[in-house]
Amino acid sequence: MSLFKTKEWWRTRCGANETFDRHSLLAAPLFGKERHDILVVGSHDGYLRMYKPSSQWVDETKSPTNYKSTDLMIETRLDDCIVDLKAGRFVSGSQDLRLAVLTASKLTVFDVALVVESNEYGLPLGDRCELKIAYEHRLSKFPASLTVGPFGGVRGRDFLCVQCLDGTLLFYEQEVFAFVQATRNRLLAEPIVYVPRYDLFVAASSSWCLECHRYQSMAEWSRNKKERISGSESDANNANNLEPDSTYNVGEAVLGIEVVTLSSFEVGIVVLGERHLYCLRDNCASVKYAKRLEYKPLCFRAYVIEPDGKLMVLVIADTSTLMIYEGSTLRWSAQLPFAPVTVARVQLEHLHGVIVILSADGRLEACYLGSEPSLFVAPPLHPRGYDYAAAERELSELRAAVSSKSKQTEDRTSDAGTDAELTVSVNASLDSDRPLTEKESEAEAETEPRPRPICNVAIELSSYATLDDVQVCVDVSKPLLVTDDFYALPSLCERHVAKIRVYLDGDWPAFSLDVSVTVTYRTDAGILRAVRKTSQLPLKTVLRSCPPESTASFVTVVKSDAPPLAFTQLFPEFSADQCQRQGWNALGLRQVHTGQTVTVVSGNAGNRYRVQSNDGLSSVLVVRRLTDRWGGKSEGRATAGAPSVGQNHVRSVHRRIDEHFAARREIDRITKEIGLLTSQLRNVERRMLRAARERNEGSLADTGLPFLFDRTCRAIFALLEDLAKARTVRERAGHELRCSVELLLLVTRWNASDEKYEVLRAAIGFEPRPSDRLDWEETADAALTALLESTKSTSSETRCSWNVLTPIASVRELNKLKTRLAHAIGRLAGTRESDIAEMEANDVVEST
Amino acid sequence: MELFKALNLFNQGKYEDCATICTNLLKKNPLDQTVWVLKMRALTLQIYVDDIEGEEEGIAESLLDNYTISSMPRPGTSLKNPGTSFTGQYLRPKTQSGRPLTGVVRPATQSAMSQSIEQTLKTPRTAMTARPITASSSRSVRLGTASMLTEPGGPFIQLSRLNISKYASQPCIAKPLFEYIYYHEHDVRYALDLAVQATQVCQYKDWWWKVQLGKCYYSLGLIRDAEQQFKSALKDSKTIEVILRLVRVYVRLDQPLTALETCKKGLEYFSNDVNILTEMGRIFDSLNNMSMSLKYYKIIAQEDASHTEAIASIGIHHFYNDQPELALRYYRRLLQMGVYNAELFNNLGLCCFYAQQYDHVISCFERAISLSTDETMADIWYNISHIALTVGDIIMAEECLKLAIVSDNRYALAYNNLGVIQIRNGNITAARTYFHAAANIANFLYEPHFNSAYLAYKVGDLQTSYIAVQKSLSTYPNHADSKTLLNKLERYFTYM
Repeated sequence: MSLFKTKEWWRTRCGANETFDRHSLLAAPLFGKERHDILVVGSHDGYLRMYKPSSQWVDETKSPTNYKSTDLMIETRLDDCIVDLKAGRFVSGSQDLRLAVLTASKLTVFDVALVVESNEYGLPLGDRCELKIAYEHRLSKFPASLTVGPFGGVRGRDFLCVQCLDGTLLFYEQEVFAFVQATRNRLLAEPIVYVPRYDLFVAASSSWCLECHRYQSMAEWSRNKKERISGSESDANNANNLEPDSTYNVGEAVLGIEVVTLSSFEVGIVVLGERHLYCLRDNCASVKYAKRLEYKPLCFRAYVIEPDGKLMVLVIADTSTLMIYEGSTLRWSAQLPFAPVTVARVQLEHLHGVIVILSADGRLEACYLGSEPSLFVAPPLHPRGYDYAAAERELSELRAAVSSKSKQTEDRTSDAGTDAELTVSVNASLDSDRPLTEKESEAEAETEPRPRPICNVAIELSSYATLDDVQVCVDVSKPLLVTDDFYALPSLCERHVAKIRVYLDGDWPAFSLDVSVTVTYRTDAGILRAVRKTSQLPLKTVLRSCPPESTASFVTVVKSDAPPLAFTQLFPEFSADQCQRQGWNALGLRQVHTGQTVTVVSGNAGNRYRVQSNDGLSSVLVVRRLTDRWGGKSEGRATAGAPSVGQNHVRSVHRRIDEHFAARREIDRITKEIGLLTSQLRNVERRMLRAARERNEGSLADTGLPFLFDRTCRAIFALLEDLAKARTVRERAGHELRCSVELLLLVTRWNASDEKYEVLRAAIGFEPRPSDRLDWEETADAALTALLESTKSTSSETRCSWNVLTPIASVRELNKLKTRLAHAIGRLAGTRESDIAEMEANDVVEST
Repeated sequence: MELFKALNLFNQGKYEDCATICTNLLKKNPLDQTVWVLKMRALTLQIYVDDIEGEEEGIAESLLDNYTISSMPRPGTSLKNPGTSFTGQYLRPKTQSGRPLTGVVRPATQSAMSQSIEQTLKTPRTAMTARPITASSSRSVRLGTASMLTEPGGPFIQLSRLNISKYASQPCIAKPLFEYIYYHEHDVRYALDLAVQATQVCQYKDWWWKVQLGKCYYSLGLIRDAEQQFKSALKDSKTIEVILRLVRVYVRLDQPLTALETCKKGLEYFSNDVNILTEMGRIFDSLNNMSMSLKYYKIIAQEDASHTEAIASIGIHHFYNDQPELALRYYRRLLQMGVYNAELFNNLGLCCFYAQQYDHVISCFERAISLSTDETMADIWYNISHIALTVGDIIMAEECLKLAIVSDNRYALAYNNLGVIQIRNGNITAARTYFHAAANIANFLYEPHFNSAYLAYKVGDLQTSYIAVQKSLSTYPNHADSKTLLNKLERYFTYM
């Protein structure tokens, strides 16, 4: 992020497809100060180029003259790879600057000679230069960098130090090889710098510390080492490594080190780490200042502005932004045209203090900062202007459309408002340590050792405004019972929490754990509203884990494309109870109140589960939870958890229908008999009355009427008892019918489309309600007939006849019902139609 | 030569190519430690994320945090209860999580410092999803997912087979190895093991290892241990990073005053360091002490004139201080620097509007909408509605508010304003519904409470009015209108 862009002064491109690194650029006044800095660029492909940028400002065009072909002084190939370039007084007896080039195999020092040429008219053709080898050293290892300086404090001469890739330092006192110094703590070549004032080498180590070595001590140590080797092996411990004079723990990898002379008595060591910029004092042990960088730096250059000794640092971020810091304060930032690998500050002929940058692919540019901001201009939105009149027209059209629909939208918003008006939350939790009431504890002590679980359900009503006449109904399906299934609040303010308990009663199979809470209330405006909320009780209310049973008569297979899940994921509540056998693939669940065991077995081969039980009705709950959870956890609902409709499901429903029907007929029979007996009783009474009126009391006993009366009464009472029994039998049969229908529906649900499923559910999935003549069978029959007719593919006319509810009297009619049911299932499930139809035909034959 | 190339690529930041060369070299000579370390570094830097800034307090931390010293802190000493002792801009609008709006979205301003479990669970962490952030450990996995990627030929380093004690004794390898395990593998347990052994090897003298220990403890949630390590590291060597980490520890411990103290001590060593100043600005900001926050942000802007957060924060302060012209200058500066997003144009539009430069308003908002994402769309429409309202175009305001709700159906303020418009249109019931909806979505706003109280008072439903005005006062105790209404109601009740 910067306001400015750098201005181009001079630009060229070095070679094609050559690579450069941070050591590839050298700017030095090779031909004396008056001829200014020469740019020397060495590439990894071995080419050496020297440039003398002659760009100057042209007032007419308001631009610099930029690159001219005469700026290139020499282009030559030296070796296969140029690693580093340095300038210095490398030849003894001469104060002229020589160029030292470090290539992959040798270190060469060149004499650089300037040839000034001009054409016949005396116009300058540009300077040319020639390279002559002064001397060279062969290198045994691959070098990484070159450091030069008056090591040991010599006057007027510069020595050379080559760092190899493994960190070994080779010292050359000009033409003579001095010594080799292996370094401790260094795996790779790291930045190294020489501080002439203190005759000190500052280098980073691989353990992210700065280490300072005095040249003198290194030289002495290596001399001693030679003596030691030539002499004896005494003092072997000391032989390996030289301890650094001082260290500073930077704590991050170091990208570069530079030395600047701040004043005549102060030297600063500027260190660029991966995340920080440090300026160390000359003793290399304390920080002058540090700056945490909020970007990843690429390269940097430190320099001092002369008169007042201000230390400036150029840092280039990886967003190719140039930052110029004075101390830790940002003085300027500008955007560079590309991301460079190295940067230098150069004095050119016509411009001083130019920033020269070199990119990895050889783009070389000299640029200056310039004070004219390059403002960011947002791209225009409407390239051809904006037609406000058309927009106005469109807006008015749209508004008309909206206002015509506004009635409906208003309704919807008020619907949203009702949600906000009353919030109902139902929270069910299993009560483990409840206080047992007396009656319960007695009953449990007799019947079973473990107490039946009781579920606490907390119903929380919260509303913002006050609501009146709040009535709460709680509904659970049998055999669950609720302590308080209805309560009313005269007015609800803010929040109300009611705690009710749900417990099991009787030994009927459970098929649903839903708790539905219906709340009706009246708003201030006098409108009655109702909110329904359904929640599920925990599975443990009804089921317990037990050892799985291997054989069972009733099996439901649930299979799917989705990968099967472990039982710990499907039934996490039971995984704790079960002993954690490795790879258990069967789970036994026992119904608490009936004692029936349901076993869930996961198939080894395919993606399926088998739910088996001796009693089909017990497995409803397990199958429901299994499909819900499996389907919920895996992605696609349609593909996951589809149990297949088996014959056993339909057969189970048929059996229940038979039972229920038999119970009804039993009741009918008893009712009829009672009818007969009561008419008989009435006749007897009439006779007795008549006899009494004739006042021959003596003869009353003789007629035997009292005896007959007695017997009839007794018979009626006996029949009434039977009737009560038959009623409970019917209720139970009705519940079981509901259960099996529920299982059938559950199984159908995954095979049929949602719409069809809803239709079927509406047709048969309701509670049997005993009434005089009509019961489940009749209603279901009528509904199924209608369903079959509506889904019949052949009949094109959509005839919707209202079937008259006729009481089913005979087994034959009942069989028709069964066939219709089978057909309906077959039609919905689609694929399995033929299967079931055949089976049904057999079934019908059997039962008739 | 190969190694030289690899090193060069590494220096240029081409870590992938570097790693490939290293892999080839390692095939030739599997025991070359140099190449091994270089590859390790390359892989680490490839996915390195500055983890000081990247943290976000997850639901587990904010709920199950047992480090907080007092559950009912005095006002002004805690970030959870910033207090209102500092007058000024309490009327700053609040974000979805109920914190006052800040200049930039920065770490840990998204999550609500909520007092109750309910609020924590209800607060959405982003505009579009209601899913709260889970624990921070999983967050750091998401930041760099290298550990999840399967590498061809197995992972580079099998952590379970690593001889930790051997490498702990080699400082050149141990440090890059630690960073590799911590940043690349995200295996804090092994990293901690290595750090413990390495710090024993160097006899507890290397501050770097102490910092790494602290980092491990911090990401494991052992905040107090982390604090100890950072403090001990600071004793050895003063570094900015450690100061920042220590400040983070104190913020996490909900001790803003100690954090500020640490910052001040840090500034003694690193005078005018931008990062430390930024921390201070943020802490003052979240303590609702806007003037101090502004002071520090101004120092930052002097120190680093292109600091986006500072510029944006100063801008927003001026805006809410009724100096839209000044704010406009700061936002324009951001635009010139190349920030180009919906939020900025939205702010520019608002500034232009309040500075009465109406010609720019429409184009600013057009740009904002064209640049907006799903998350910012609702805010922009809300602001446009505001302008429409001020211009007097009630129909357009209503449409804009409805569009805001379409973009984000939990936009409580939009519901509130729709309610106000409905009162004006005479639809009392609809207005009440909107107020209730707004109040249910965001219970940290006082406006819907007060509005519904006022409405109920006008209608004559004094009881509802009383309840609602109390809620309003509990969220904003100094709201004068609410107080007046409450007084009126109390007078009525005493007459009765």
